[in-house]
Amino acid sequence: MEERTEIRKRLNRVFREVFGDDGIEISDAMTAKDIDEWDSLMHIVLVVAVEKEFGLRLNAAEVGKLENVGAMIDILQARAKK
Amino acid sequence: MDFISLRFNVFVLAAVMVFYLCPDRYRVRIAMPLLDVIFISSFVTNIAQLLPMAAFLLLGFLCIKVIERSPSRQSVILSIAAILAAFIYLKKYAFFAFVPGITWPYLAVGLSYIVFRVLHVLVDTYGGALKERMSLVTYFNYNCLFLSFISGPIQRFQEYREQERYIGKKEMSRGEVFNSFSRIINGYFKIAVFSTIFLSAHNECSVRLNSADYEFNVLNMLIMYSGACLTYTLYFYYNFAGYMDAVIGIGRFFGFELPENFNRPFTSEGFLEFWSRWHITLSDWFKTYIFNPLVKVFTYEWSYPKLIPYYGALAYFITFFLMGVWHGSSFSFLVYGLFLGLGVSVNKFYEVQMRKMLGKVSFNRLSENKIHRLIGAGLTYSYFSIALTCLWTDFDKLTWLFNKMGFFGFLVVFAAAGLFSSIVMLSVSMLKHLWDKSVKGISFLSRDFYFRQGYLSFKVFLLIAIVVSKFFAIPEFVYKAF
Repeated sequence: MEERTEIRKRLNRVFREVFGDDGIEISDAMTAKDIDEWDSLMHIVLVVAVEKEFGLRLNAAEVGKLENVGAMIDILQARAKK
Repeated sequence: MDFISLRFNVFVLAAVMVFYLCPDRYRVRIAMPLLDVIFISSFVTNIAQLLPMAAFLLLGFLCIKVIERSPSRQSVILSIAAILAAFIYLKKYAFFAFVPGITWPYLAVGLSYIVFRVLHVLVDTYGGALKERMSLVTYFNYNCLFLSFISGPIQRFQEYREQERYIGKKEMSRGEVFNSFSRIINGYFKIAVFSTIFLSAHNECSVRLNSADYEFNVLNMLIMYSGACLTYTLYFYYNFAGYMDAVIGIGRFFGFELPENFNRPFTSEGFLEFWSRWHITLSDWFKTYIFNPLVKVFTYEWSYPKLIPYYGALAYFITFFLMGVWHGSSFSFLVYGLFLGLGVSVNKFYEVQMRKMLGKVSFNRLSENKIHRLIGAGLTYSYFSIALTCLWTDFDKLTWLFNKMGFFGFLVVFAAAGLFSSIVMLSVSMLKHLWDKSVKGISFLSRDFYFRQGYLSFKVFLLIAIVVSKFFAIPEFVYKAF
């Protein structure tokens, strides 16, 4: 669980930076609907920022599957274990 | 085999029986490929006509095997290039008319969808999103499943594979059987009744548009053109969505849950939203394999936050332009691609600019305003209808129209038809509201199983009457051509 909290913390920082809003507090259930600017375009900008922060590359299928923050953390956690 | 034909229905009936009588272990390995081969063979008169498609499938399979063995960047780029080159060659694109083609007539139906499936599997194999090794049978079944062979839906391989494991092992409840039948009948109804009516309305308008008299009266011409556009879109929708209903309904009898392609597209309040509701599996594919990678490359190469909206507009333009061009091999489809690309880019640009000008809060309030939403929906419908002109006219006719009406004429049609559509949409939603209110008292009927059965039987009866009377000439499936 420790790991998940750590990932969430780092991810939250990425979210704040990408959307330019220091008030963002991410939660697992959060989707694009909860953040106005989170559209298909910003989704990819976010993905790129996540890739840079965590030093990995997500494949096309993974990028398409990231529907909510929880799914994002799942993938990052799974990758961290490898 | 046409979807509304005795032959196809007999085939489906026989297929369901073969499928369930077949022993478990042969169902996926023998019965399914056999049914697919029988279905596909019904489109040709001799085996030679199947050879180009078989070669294309084999090329795709070999490329996937190469990537499985050595997943290098070079091999994936080469494989994609080879598959695209073969596809363009077989589709006989007008821009490559100078390349000598295959001399005998061959089967090209379904090829446009196979290319998406093959590329998706190829890229996902390379990206490590597919763990298992592809077998020839699975590859063939996935690409040639008779249900989605002609025009999709484009199911993701992962989803298909998951369902394939359970086919023939799930039992259908009474309610599920009823719902599936009902879905099929509704689909046939959309094709035989609604699409037929709108097609004949469209033909009325376009015949007049073609008659010489209108050359002297611009107003009449604009009205007839608008009529032809607006009715064609409805014809197109009912034809395609009806086909989808039938395919999804039939699929359930085989244990498949095929993905939906439509989600009330005409309620979209913008052209971008429209593409998340219209031909969904196609736009998902383009989003996953064209738009996302493009934006990624742009953002990695030039990471200036200020430029992001422009990357977006460019990526949208390229994505939708390609989507338009994919639809057909003649020059009109190039124009169609430009229309789609322009539409989404302008929509994105409008969003960005308005948010900048009004601020986030006011822009959100404006987007929720009823009139803004209604006009957005009307304009989206009219823009898409104008873009679809490229599908019912050839390039010469398109230039003729443009010369006669001019850019200004098109703008007038866009605005007037948009306003007209908004008013129609408003009236429809008001009528629906009234209807819902007045039948509230008898809504228990619509939940009653026997009532629903009776209603479905009535529709079947009507359908048979229409087909037997030959009062309407039921149109062929429109999307088969792409």
